[in-house]
Amino acid sequence: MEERMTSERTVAGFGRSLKTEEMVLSMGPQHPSTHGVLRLELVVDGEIVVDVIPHLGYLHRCFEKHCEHMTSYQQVIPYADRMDYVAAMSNEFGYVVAMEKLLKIKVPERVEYIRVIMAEFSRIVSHLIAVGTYGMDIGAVTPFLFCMRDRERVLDIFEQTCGARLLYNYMWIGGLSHDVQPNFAEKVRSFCTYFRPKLKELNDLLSYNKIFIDRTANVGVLPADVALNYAVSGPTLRGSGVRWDVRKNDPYSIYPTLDFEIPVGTGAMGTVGDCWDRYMVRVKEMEQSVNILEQAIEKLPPGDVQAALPKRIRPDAGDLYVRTETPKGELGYYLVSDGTASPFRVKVKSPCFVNLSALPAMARGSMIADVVAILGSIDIVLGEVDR
Amino acid sequence: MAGWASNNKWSLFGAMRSAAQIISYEIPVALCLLAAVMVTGTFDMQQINQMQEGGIFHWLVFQKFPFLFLAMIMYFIGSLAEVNRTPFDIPEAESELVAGYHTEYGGMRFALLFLSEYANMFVVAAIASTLFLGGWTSPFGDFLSGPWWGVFWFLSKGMLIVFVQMWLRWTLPRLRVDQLMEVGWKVLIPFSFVVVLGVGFWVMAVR
Repeated sequence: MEERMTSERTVAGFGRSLKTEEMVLSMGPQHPSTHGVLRLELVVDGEIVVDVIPHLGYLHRCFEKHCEHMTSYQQVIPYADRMDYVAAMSNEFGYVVAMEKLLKIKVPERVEYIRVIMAEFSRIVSHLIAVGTYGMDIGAVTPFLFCMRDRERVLDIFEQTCGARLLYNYMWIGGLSHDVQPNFAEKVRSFCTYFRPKLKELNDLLSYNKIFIDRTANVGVLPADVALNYAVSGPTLRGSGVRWDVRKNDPYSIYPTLDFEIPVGTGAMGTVGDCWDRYMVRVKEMEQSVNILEQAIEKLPPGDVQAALPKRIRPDAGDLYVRTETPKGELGYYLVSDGTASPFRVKVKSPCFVNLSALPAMARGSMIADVVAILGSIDIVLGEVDR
Repeated sequence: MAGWASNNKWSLFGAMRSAAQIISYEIPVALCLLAAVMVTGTFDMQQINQMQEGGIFHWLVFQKFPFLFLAMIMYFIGSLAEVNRTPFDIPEAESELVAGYHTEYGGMRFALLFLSEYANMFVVAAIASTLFLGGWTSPFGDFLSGPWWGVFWFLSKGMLIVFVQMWLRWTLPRLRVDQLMEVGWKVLIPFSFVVVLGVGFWVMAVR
């Protein structure tokens, strides 16, 4: 660090050489576009970024350690909500899938369908925030307001179902906390018909805007091999053209019975793996999520929403790792049970943390304004990076 | 100056960008104004305004078509950059530089900086309406004209341009600093020279 801060270079061209020095710029933790309390240490040469060093931990709240001190496995779920707080349903989904595998129980089919519907809703919510705030990072405010308006529709459905708008504690081990309301199917259908034209509106306003394309195409290119070496996942990986989605490649729940596509980056506006590709993958994924919603709501079977479970859950001693596809990428739970009623160890592999590690590789050599664009295109949530 | 004085790296960036931007956009703006001056033959704003009396088709925007129309458009784009409005608001680029040169200012000092920004917006709009949109004259010739109507027309023309500025500000994303320079030097300046030359030859030929 010290070495870099004092490094000097000489610039020729004025008859005599000039000594220049790089400047260290501390971006965050209080900065409008670090999406939370992330601190980036930028080493800049004028407007050019020489190096980026992310500093994490401002939002660390010992999630994994807390889990070990719970009195039951069920109590982990509200904490899991608070990791990726814009897509809390997806976090719960991963945890309950892992727990049910650990307990070797099967949940009623209705539960699986409702869970998938909720997970896809949370994907839409999360991508709306990602796309909206991305527009704001680039400087456009209206797309953000449009996205928030559409997100409100989904939150209303969530609120009607489980009473909460952000942190739900809805999916329980072996089932759900409540069944859905009688008008749920109708609400989901009306959302689907409402949302498709709004996506087109978003594309017209932002995605194909000349200035937006200028700012994002060919910026922050992440080639497929680099992406794989950093083990990034989710839209960040698919933006680089790698067709990898846990829902297809390592299916769980009822995803194999549903028909949907995995959009990947094609380099339509520039290079494969640039910011525009990552952005567009999210927009297309929202379209696919609407497809999944429509199919799942058609097939939604009647029945119970809670599997028969002992009052006190004590899984056999053992461990397992389960991964699911959250909006941000591959969320993995590694659970270790020692046969008691509380977990021995809960390790979370968070997609945001891994995706953020690729930021320096993408941002070196770009401009300060590009760092903001690249960070926005990774779509991190600090609650999940730090846990 | 305010940015340099506040000893903050973000403000420094804002101030440097602001200086670069004003230098590169001052030229096309001045050239566009020069085109209007060449048509009227005077620098006196009152005379320029009086020459546009007599309805909407006497306004300078519609004279020497399309040169002065282009000049008006380019003046508007350049003035957006001059007063730091989106898509050219990189000196204060909220999501990049926090707030640019006024990052470290609060309370009344911040209010003064910001009020001056908004005053600037109206100033460039007022210049545009005086030079190109007939200033205080009514668009309908003698109908609805007079001293009070003059105040009304002048303010409403200025506010219309301010409205368009705000409209763009909420709709468009922001350019990057190098793209901004490209627009300024590679597009606006050559075109404003074309406009000045075109108007110049036209005026010469008519005389």
